Amino acid sequence: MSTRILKTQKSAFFSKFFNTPTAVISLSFLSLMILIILLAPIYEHLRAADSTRVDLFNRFLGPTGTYILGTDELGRDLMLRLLNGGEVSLSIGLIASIIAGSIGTVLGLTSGYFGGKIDSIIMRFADTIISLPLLPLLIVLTAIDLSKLGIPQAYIDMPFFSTFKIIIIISLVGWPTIARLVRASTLIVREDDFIQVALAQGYGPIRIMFKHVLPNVTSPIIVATTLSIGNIILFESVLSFLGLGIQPPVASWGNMLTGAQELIYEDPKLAIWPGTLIFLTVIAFNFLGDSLQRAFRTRSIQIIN
Amino acid sequence: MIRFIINRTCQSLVILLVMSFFIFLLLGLMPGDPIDLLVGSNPTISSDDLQRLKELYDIEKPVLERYLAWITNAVHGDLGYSRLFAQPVMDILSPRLFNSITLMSVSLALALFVAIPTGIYAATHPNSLLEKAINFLCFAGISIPPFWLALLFILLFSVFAGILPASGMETIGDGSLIDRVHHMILPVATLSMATIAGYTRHVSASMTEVLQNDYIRTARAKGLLEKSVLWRHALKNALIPVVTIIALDFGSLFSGALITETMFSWLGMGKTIYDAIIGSDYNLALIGLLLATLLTLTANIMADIAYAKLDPRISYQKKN
Repeated sequence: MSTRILKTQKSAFFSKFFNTPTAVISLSFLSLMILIILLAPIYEHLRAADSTRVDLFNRFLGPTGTYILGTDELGRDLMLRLLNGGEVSLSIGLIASIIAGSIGTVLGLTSGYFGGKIDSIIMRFADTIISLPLLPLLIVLTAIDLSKLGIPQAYIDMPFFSTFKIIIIISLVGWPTIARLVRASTLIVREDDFIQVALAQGYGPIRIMFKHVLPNVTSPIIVATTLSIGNIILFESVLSFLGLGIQPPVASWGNMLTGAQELIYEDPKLAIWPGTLIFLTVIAFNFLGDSLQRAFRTRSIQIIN
Repeated sequence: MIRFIINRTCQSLVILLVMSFFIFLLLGLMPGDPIDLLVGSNPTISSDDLQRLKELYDIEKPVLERYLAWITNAVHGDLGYSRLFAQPVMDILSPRLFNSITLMSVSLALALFVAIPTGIYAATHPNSLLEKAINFLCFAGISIPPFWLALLFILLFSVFAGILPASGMETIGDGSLIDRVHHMILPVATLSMATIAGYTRHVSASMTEVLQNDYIRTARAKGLLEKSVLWRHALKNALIPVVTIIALDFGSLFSGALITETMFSWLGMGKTIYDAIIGSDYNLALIGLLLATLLTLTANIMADIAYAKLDPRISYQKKN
């Protein structure tokens, strides 16, 4: 009986999801792009070049045989830079959303399960973060000199340090939305009979929260995490564009646009390519999240029926 | 109600106080300190002067002590000087606060003007071709990087067509109203784009929900004109959650304004905060950030008041 219900739930979910054109297009686009980005090292190897190599004799080239998309203001291969930049931007989006999602899930579960003082403290904190002007605060956080916090200069000078820094900073401010959603679902699940049974069996709060409540609140977590990936990629691109996020020579789609504003008269393609990729990626994640939400909703309607 | 407003104001002041300490702490962690910057700009400075400056700026005292000194001065109305502009901080910030509020309120008005009818249309014509197009455009609007949108506008209207200025607030030597409006078109378009998309989605979702209510059926059964049903009966109720979302979203409107101001050299708060942090003008950054926080918190309180005014069922009095 229970396996049959599970099967119809699943098939209802998948048929709804795969019958949404935007969902299928977004999923295919993202999979294809991730595949191309993962295969970039092979292309680099074939071209025997890398995205940081400066070639001042070949600046602002248009598309040619060697340079598929041409070169930038320092004669670097635009295609290679887009591939490497994409790897950085997407990794930040995925990793930061998972970290923020995990923090949000734990805090949301705690808040919803225990209620009372703990709940009001966590939620007051979340509300405050949500209501603050986030971008100016992120700018301050990214501008901090970490050596003043006792982090050795050797680490700070490592090329991927700025990537880690951005991931941590965005995760720290990204959790409240997910925490609120998880809390709201937990409040409903907590009243269910099986929680009473688990309590009667003498299970502790941590076991009940993670083994009994968590499996029943996965859909809002999946939806909110997917939707947050797009937002995080946008935040990363803005910060990198302003010169505070990913530091050159490491490329990200955001910092590739930094110089593009001054060069917009000289070479508009430098502004068009990275921006188009950010836009398409973010819209794909947003469509994906929206379709997941609709598919989960049909599933829950089917269960009720 | 009055009690509620006082309560919320006190809460907001506490948040503001906590934020001021937090930002003070963070700005202390910025690269370099004020003395280094002074030494950098004046290589002939003597070590006696250095010592004197260190005492003047209390740089060697613990952070809590410096914070207390700062807040005492701030409460007495002395907000200090800007290092970049060599002027009192408030002299720089007040005109810029005005510029930001102008930019934000014009964009907000435009966004509501577009989003409310569009949202109503989307809610009353589900699954129509136009509704699908609106939905797609809304997704595009919330997904486009705002600074890139600004770049595209500059590329289209300033570089290729050459009809709109790419930056600034007025042509030097002109400054007439038409000239100012001319300079405002691209910044307002950039800032309102994401806002329009977001608001349209909220209005549409809220309208869809309200239209399923029994009183809408009753209104239609009474033979009221559809226009009157939508605009008088449904919209009034649909706007209640929308007002809350708009006010709670004020922080992101400010973030959007920061990007827009930076892209178009619009002399507003957002650009000033960014320039102050990049230029190590920490006092200016501190006051700027606190003003931005104050603006957001005020918007949130106003949302709560508007919420109660729009919906007579909501009262903030304590239940006995």
